[in-house]
Amino acid sequence: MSEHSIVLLGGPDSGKTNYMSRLWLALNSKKAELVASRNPANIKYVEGGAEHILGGAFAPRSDTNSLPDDLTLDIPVRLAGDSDGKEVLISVPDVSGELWKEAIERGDISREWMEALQQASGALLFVRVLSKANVAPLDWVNAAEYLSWAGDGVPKDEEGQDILVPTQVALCEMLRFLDETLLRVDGRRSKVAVLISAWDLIDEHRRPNGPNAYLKEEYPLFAGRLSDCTSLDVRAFGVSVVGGDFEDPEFTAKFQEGDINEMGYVAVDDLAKGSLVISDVTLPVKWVVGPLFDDE
Amino acid sequence: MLADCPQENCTVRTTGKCLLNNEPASSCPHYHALTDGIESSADEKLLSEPEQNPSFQSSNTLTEDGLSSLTGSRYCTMVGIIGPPDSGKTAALVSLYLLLSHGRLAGFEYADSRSLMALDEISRGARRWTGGTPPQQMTAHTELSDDRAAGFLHLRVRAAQHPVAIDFLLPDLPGEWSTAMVEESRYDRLAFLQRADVIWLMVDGSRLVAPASRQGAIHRTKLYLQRLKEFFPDLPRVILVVTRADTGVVGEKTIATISDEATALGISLTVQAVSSFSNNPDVPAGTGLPELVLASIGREPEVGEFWPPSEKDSGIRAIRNVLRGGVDI
Repeated sequence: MSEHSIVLLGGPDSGKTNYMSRLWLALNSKKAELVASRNPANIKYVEGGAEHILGGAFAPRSDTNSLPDDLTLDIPVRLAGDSDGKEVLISVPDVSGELWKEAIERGDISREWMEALQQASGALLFVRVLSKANVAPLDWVNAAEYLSWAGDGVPKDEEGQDILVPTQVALCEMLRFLDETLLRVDGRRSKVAVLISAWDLIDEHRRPNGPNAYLKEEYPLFAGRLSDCTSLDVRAFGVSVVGGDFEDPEFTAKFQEGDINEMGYVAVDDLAKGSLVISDVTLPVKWVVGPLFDDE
Repeated sequence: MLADCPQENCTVRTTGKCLLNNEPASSCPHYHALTDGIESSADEKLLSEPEQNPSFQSSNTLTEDGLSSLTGSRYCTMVGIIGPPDSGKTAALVSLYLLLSHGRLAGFEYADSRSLMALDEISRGARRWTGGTPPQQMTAHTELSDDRAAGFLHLRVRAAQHPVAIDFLLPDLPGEWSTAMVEESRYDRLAFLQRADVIWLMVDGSRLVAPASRQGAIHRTKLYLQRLKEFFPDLPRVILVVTRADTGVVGEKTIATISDEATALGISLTVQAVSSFSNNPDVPAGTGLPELVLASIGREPEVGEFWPPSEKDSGIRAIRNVLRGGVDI
């Protein structure tokens, strides 16, 4: 069995922990394209998140002070329909969004996490639709104000707080970190899945345009960077872990009466068919680790 | 040897003598040597310096030395940005960055930047040489030390008309360096201009319009052209970037006077009006910047604004170009 790790990156409240917990439930159900061959030894971290989701609530944020081992799901997986097929042990450390935020501001990261990046052969990069933690780019009014700042030190916003790095800049920086560090297995380009979480929150008329169109509209710098990136194999996915929002009591009631294995989906762009919606939340991970199943 | 003893009144710590007269003092069962402990704690102190986190590659401005890693692999268009403090250099860079950030640089899309964090920091005023603030409000000019080399911002864009992306290198310099070139012949720090593909000579358009400042601004602009030619005989083409186009249109005669000076000096000059920021609803912020970027591609002008030395209506063409800056983006 070959062993590979993939890393999760994303700012605070970008949907990483909820996706990991939902991924665990999907792998465990053995109804998706990627299945768990066996249950891992330690499932404390993902079971914690799964408990929230199964109860009809999203999981809280990961702990900032955790080390890679505390937040890692090590799970042997194989492709569905091939019970004798090759197994790949994937190790997925979930890095706190706060930690990535600091890494972007300072341009460095602790040795443990740097090693986790360097040992990973692929990555999932998260951004969440309508997250309160998302930071819009400055407009001309704000920028003019900051450029003529006459106060002490660097300019602050209206509440006296530091002006935050826009989400699209943070995404570009995280992609750069991955480009610099990811392990290229057999010289192959590493795969990076960009997961747009809470995809169900996008307006109905925009959703059919697909994840790439969404990125271009919301994050022009990041979308441009993705188009220009040739050293990584990047693909965007819209992800809804349960197919709706637990803030909506009507949806929550429907969810609690239903079967989680029938809920949740992934949206992808297809050259021939436009945007496709597929009821399998393991798809982004399957795409990232896919080439490993073909390796001898 | 430093030592300690828990026995009351024992002075071994200071005298080295054992209270119970053990000789040597270290043979006393209460004797407690401190030497090793102190040495090891000193060692630990040395060794326990906070470990530096491993860094990613810098997303800061590129030094001239650092440019080679970029220019070695692809052709980069180097833009020399020159102009006095408050001529609008930083404002133009910030507005260009904001246009790309909002997907509104007509005809262009962002592709990459090796100095993205630096661009972002400039836009939020966290890194500034001049900004929109008058010089007297600037923070202490420690950055102006002579050994401070030029920092470059990298910006890679895709243009609708171009099959390949275009890499620009834009210097992040204080206006004082330009002033020092003109007034004190200090051009050593601007040596990179010899390698530039195009020069943006930034002029505050409002000064070229207001009667009280117009003649002085013309004089200074001509002086800039003279100095540039004097210090950099193989000067690349120059785009006269007339900033603050939202405040008014520069007169035909004014432009003609400047362009005649360029012609006399043998400088290829075109004119582009820009309004990086705007207080005028008829001139949106960012006006003229897409045209400026387009005109800056490559060593030769992409659009037909080359200034033929013999053309009599050169002033008129300049004005057309200035007015063209007022189009919606």
